[in-house]
Amino acid sequence: MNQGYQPSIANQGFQPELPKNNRGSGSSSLVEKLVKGVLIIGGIIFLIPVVLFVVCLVIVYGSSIFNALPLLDFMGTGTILLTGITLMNNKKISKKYLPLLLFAMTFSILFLAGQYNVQSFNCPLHTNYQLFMPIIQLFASMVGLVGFCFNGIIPINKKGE
Amino acid sequence: MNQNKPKLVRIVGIIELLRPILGLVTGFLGAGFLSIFIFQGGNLRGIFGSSILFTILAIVSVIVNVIAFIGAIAVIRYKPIGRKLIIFVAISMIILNIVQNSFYSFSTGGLGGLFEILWIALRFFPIIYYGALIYYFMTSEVKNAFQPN
Repeated sequence: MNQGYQPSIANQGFQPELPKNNRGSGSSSLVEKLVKGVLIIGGIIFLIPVVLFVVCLVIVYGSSIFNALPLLDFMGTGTILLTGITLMNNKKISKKYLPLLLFAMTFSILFLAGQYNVQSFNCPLHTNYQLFMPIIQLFASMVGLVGFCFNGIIPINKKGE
Repeated sequence: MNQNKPKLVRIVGIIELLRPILGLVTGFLGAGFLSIFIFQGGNLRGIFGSSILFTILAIVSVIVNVIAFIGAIAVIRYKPIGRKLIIFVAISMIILNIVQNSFYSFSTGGLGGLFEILWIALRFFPIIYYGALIYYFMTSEVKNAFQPN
């Protein structure tokens, strides 16, 4: 019987430690609550610019998507065709990432040429979207990315490699 | 296993993941998320030759943003390196924020009173936020969550 009681004696030995681990001093827990509060409030404040930015993007893209659709169609098809042809001809260059390369090249060329209204992105509140004309060029490079996404549907001939 | 991992760490990780994405995409200087309200001139101008200060700050902030991005992914996955990276990023952000606050005007364009006090308080809020972040990531609660298993 007494031997069966052993675990509780062992528990008594541990008992003083348990509250010590869980307790924590009063001031430190207050500081921790304060710190967590600041982190949560900071996170909420941070979401304001994110929402603003997303709203601005929706306005920009939403208003210009119909103008850019034919171009998107043309360039996207072109990119897919180019990928297919490159795959068929088994060129030495990295075929799978060719559309991404095209996207990066077009984007960087247009970016360096100053065709993107980068300034407008900086403060969405002060952006005059009437002046956001080079959106077509932006789409022209974005379609490269679209082509890259479509890349998955083109089967890669492993035998050819 | 997941019971030992505080959710706030993951929330902070997600926020720290979004912030560099926004910073890199839009070209903010990136010393705290409030820079969207502060740098109306646009800091990319610095890269394109406006001033050396702008250029240095922009390059530094891009580097810090990239580190923040990697660190945030590591934090979300509870990798031990993530905690250290985020602490490093937070320290860099505090320094960057102090530098920026000392170089930019606090003018609110004529609006005074309470609004001005709030505005200045908001300008310094990233310092408090990242200070809290460093404190929180130094606590044993978070340290235990990042113990390699």
